[in-house]
Amino acid sequence: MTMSATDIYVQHLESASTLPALLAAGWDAFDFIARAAPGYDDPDSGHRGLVFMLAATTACRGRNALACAPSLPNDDVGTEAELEQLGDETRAAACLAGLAAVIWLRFADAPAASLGHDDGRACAAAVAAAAETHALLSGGGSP
Amino acid sequence: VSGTDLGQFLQAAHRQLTQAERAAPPADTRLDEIAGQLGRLVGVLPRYLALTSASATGKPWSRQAGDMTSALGTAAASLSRWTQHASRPREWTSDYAGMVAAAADSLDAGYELLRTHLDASSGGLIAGRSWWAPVICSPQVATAIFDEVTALAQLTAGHARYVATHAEDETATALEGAGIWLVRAADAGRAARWHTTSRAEHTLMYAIPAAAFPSRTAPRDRESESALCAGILGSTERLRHTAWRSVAGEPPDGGADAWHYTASAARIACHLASVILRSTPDEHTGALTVAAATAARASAIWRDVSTAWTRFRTDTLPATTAVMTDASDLILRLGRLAYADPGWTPASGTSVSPRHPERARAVLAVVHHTADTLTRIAAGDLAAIADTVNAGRLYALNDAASRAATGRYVKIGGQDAEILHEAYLTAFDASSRLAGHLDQIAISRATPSLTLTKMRAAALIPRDVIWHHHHEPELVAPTPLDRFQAQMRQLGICDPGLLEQARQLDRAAEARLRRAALDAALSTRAPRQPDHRHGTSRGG
Repeated sequence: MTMSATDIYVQHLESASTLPALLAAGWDAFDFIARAAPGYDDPDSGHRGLVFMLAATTACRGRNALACAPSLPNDDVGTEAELEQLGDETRAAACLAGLAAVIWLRFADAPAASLGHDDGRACAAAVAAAAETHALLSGGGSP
Repeated sequence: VSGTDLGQFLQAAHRQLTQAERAAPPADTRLDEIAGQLGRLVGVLPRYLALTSASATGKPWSRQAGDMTSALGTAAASLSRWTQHASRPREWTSDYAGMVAAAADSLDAGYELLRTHLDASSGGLIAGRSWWAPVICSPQVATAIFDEVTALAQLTAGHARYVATHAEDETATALEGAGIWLVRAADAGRAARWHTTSRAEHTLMYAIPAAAFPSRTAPRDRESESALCAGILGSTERLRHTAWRSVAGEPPDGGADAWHYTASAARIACHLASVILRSTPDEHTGALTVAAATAARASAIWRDVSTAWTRFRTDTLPATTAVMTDASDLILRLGRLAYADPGWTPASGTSVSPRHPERARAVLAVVHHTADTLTRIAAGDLAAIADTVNAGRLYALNDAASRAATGRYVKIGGQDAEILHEAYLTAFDASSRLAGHLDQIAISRATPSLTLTKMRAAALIPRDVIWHHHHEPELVAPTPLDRFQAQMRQLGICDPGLLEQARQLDRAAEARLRRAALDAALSTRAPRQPDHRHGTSRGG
């Protein structure tokens, strides 16, 4: 059975066992949302179209936050998933909201005490961006 | 918006001086008291001219403007002995003195209101503080101010000469002298008129508000239409203020994430403007239909700006900033004006039924202000982005294949940022077109945003200048910023006050040189070529 694009990112997030791996997986996942969401931004064809552009904006904010983390490695996990696998607007919103929720869970669980100052600030900003992205795509509420 | 405008102060001054004409000073009045208050009043008048002096430079009437300022200065000097000792007693010895004092107070307050927008340094250079600054220095408003000062000089001359007839010795001589110089000032003012000011120009001058940064009013559930409109006007004022700061080289915090969010909010705001314009009764002119289509087009163009931002970042840790909150408030309230859902949020979607406005003119006015604000946001963000590129603080996403070798992002220069430059210029044009349609609608339907139409006509935002201003260092004056200050130090001057004055002169000189460089850039700009992509005229 073929894994969906979001499943691949979820798997990378869940299997990350070190801070650099988690940062890289988070960066990739945010990047995926940032690239995928604008494709669904069409207020004339889909009633939730406006929300996708804002979700892309908050996902970029999460990605940019993680880019400020000193422990983020240069090379990514290497996943460039196909965007069309997300399906229609409703399914895309659900998939991307789910991915944002996993980002939120993984980074909210990161042991703050073991993080350096700048890594900690980047992770905290990523948690906020993931929560906002999820709220937008799921119609409100925390993950 | 404070609700106070220049007209209130100028009209009060006229009213008080006219009423004083009917209140003859009684025999026991203290004429030195009146002379002191007249001196205060006369002393304020040349300061109005100093603020608008930038618009007189190089004009055929600049000599007469100088003569007028000089005559007013001499008139004020004639009364300086009494002005120096002018105090505010608990009770005036006559209504006459009280009225003249009140007129002086009104003029002083009006001058301070103008100074919230621009400042005349001791070196005679003007520094803008808001989008109203170029309007005040525009030929239309500067001439109206000139007219106003001329009329006040004439009126005050009558008072000086009248009070002189009741005075004796040196008080009488000084008042007579002041009256003569005030008449000369008024004559110079009339000679300096390079065209007859229209009522519209005076109306625009009277409408100049105090520059204010209104405090944020957070959206609440089920706000009335008037509360939504007031909230939107507050947000647009705050966003315009932020945009001005960016144009002035003082961008707010936030960097790429703030610009990205603002672009997304602009995309949504234009969409909502389109919905509002479609659901507002058109009075069979078709103007709203055209404006709605223009708003929809602007929405699509702002979408391109937002999408462009998915490839860039700055070196700042993202955080929610005030400008993002203001943009969020704006779209929330616009959505609640557009759709029949008082709790609308972007997540509510666009399939909600449109709402029909109760007060169409007020709603059209807030859409007008929104479009104008988006134009200024485009200009302000473009300026701030250019500064960021110049500072080497903008990064582009690296392609996936190169990340392991050269990192996830690469620092970019001016050429690489061209995609943002183009996207913002296109958004600027699209927002300007929308604001232009709404300018016409404001005139035809006499909306409360008519003053905005006049303000925009008096000082259009120069397209494409902002980028070149910030993006091309060779256009910026090469003068060292601390030239005067450094020379003062070389002369061994340590007085903090003098050094501060020198610093202000340096800053003002730099601003003036920048403006001159911009004007030169504008005058040498290539003719516009048609843009086949959007069917618009675009700068070279």
